[in-house]
Amino acid sequence: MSVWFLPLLIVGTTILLSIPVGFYLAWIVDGRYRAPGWLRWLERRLDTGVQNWKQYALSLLLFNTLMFVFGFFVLAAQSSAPLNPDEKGMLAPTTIFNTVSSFLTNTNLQHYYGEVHLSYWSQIAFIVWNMFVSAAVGFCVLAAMTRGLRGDEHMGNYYLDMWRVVVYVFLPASLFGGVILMAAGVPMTFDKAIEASMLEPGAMGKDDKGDPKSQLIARGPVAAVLPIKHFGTNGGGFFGANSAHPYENPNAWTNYFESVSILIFPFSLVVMFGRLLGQMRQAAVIYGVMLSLFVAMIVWAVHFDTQQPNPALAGLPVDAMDMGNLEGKELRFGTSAGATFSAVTTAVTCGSVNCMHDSLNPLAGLTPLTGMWLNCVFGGKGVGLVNLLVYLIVGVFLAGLMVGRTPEYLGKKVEAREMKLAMLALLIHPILILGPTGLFAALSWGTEATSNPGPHGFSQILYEFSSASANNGSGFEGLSDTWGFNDAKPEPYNTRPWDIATGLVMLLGRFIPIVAPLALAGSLAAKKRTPFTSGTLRTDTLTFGFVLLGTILLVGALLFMPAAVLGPVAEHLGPIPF
Amino acid sequence: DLIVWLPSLFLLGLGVMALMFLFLSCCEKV
Repeated sequence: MSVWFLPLLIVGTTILLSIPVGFYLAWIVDGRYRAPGWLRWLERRLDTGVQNWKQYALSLLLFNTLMFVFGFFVLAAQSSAPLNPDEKGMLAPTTIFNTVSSFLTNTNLQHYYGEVHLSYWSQIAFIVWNMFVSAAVGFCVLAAMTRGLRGDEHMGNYYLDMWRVVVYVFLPASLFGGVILMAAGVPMTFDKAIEASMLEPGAMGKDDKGDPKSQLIARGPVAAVLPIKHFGTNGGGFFGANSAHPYENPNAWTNYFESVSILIFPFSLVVMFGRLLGQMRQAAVIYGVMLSLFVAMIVWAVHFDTQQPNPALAGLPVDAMDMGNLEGKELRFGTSAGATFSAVTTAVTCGSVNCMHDSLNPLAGLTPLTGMWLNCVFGGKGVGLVNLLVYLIVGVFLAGLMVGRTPEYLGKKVEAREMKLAMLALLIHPILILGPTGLFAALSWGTEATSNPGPHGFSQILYEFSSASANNGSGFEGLSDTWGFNDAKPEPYNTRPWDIATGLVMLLGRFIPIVAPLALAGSLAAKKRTPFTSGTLRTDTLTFGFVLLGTILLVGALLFMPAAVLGPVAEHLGPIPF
Repeated sequence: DLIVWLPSLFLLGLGVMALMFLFLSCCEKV
């Protein structure tokens, strides 16, 4: 079967589903769903009244600060909390800080192994809870920004939006997804790990007394975590091996289902945006630009990974089957599933993985990096489209200057204040990636943590900070960045700077690009709508689509070109002969 | 050392969130 069948099936299904789902989301976000009486009573309790952009952003920050406190206490109290049949111990403080920052920001970067370090209580009360609410935060930001661009007098109410997104969107979707995955064999139990006797005694080695060791098979409430892990573009796996683990992704069908569930909301939110504005042509231009970038990412990854051999194995008998680079892949999903998933999971800042990104061919490794650098190829649900709207505002400004027209978007003039806020939101991303990458590459913090020297080691450092800043959470892996339990021996001191630095990058990379666009939308909302004339720069045409694409590539991608040359490109070219 | 590291990192996280509130008020004045 062609290597292109799976990516075509995934993208085709998602496009078809995104239209009805987008309409449903607009119906929910606009408050037109009439819930049962008891749910409406709860809604009224949460509704603190309409908010302007500043009140909305304040509510968002206050909620997230409380979630940071809550998460910190839940993880710090793990060893004395219930639902801990495997008696998981106290986590190291830096692991707690990193994990709380990670799940608060929808990143799900994991400097721990789920089945080793977390109790079922931590998985449910901390991980699943954060997966629902952090995913809803991005959704709410887009809803508020859309209301501002639409010219509403207010931005809505943050708490009411959160409620609607969690209860009317994510909960039903996750219940549906959980049943599907359980039927496919994903475990859902609170029983402790299984101690299995081996058919071949001693296959797991022998203990101090010379008796054969049994095998410990981890399990748990996996089906509760998995659906929202993907629907919320969270990506944090129940198991360390994430969606490569057979309990987390049993077969090719679940891989297809998980791929579509990662993409469905980011695709649908563009449709929702057009529906809420009442201008589907505006959404169609954005959808087209995002889709063209996304298809390019998949084609690049599959071409350079599935259609090219692993350079280290090229010419050997194992390469004779012409199946591409199979290192770090799970063949039960199909040969192109790893490369496809790497593009899917990084385009929409999910971070779930079904193959080892460290083992992708050097140029194929550029795909996940590019997805995280651009951070707007559909992007995380809500925040991805917000990032693209910021690019769009910059594009309108540049195009307006070039053709001598007043820059405006949806009838609102784009002036100096909007541009300052847009550039604040855009420039924080490269600063948070390139600054720490340079620092760690220069210090022993980086050089002693990488599993490879040279360009590949640099790529590992670059990937980690790209993933943290983009709130993606996938790992290139190969880094020593796990402390885990506080009593780990010998103490892995070198993981401390990684835990703290990536934790800070995740927090800053989450909230600055949320607050600045909200201020931008508030600024535009306060302006009078200018009438459409023959001198107005149209933003719903194919021509403007190319302007937007050019803006993203020139402003977004070029910033990272030098880093890409030092990492994946240098590795592809091989040792420099001088 | 839990006595040193736990409260320090907890306050570091709260400090970053406080910085975000400050950033919010800066955005208002841009």
